[in-house]
Amino acid sequence: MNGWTLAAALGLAGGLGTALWGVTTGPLRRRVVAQNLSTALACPSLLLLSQAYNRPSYVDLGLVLALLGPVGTLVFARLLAEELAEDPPRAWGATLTVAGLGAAAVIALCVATGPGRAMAKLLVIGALLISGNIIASRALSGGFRGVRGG
Amino acid sequence: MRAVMDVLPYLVAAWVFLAGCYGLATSRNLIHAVGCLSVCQVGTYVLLLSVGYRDGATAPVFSDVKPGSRPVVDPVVQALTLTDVVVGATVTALLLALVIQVAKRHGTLDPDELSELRG
Amino acid sequence: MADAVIVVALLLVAGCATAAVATRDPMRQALVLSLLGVVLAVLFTVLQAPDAGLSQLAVGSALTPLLLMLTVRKVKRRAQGKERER
Repeated sequence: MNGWTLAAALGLAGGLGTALWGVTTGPLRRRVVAQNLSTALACPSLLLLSQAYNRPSYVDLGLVLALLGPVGTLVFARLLAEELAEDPPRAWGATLTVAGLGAAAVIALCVATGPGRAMAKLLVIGALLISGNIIASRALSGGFRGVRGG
Repeated sequence: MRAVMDVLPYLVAAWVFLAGCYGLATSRNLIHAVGCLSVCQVGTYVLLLSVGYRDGATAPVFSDVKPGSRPVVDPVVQALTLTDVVVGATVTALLLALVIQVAKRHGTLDPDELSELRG
Repeated sequence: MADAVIVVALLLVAGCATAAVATRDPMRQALVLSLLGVVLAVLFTVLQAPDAGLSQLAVGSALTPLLLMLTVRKVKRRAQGKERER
């Protein structure tokens, strides 16, 4: 048994379980925030699983999710813009917590991997994850002021 | 515990498929029905991959592992699942195009109101 | 202990699928289907099928919910157009 597997299992059960609860109950603003944070939580879990199974090639899944997760949230933000405008989501606490968890997971993995190309890849994924998360949350809660009117 | 682990994936596949069928049968909105059909397909993905899984084995991808050094899971069912995923997306797209046409012709998306055959 | 991750992933898939069927409004169902796509990609990774997981991520997290939402929008727009014509 593996500490990484345990961490991944806890992250999945706690994070995605909470996301499932958030997506199914409550007003629309809670649902879109839960969908956004689910991708931001699944990505570090995938990276941890790659370390747990000792297969560096599984890190590609985390890369693809870090790129496509914010795209999915931006799709919802664009197509639900009218409904969200009257009741915008404000969830900066949750967003920053999830970003912090992602950063902690990436740092732990970098320490375990040791310097080299693999660590550089992990750092790139971590940067994409956190920046994508911030951009998607900002788009959900009202958009960027300079780009309004689309 | 071993018995539970042996049977759980198949139980989950059956549950997901039946839940999708239930949603499809009791749906009041054709777009919701198309979503339930894709839930049915999720059941088939789980079934396929559970058939191919092997305890302690790893993925049949040899970019970072030497072939033959570790046992691998069955690659044939993984190929089937990959095809299934892509075909499922295509079928969903085609069905949604049909739903738009139905809404244009009959003005309603409720399956109960679409039961007459118009001559 | 690898079994525990498999059990967690399987139960999450079952829960998400039930929620997707129980959500009757298509727009909210699109959100649940996006979550189902991500959870399914995690299940594929846990069952040692990363290539299927990559396809599932590409298709399920953005494509299927996008199609559903665009259909809802198109149908709503046409209904609103007809209301205005009357």
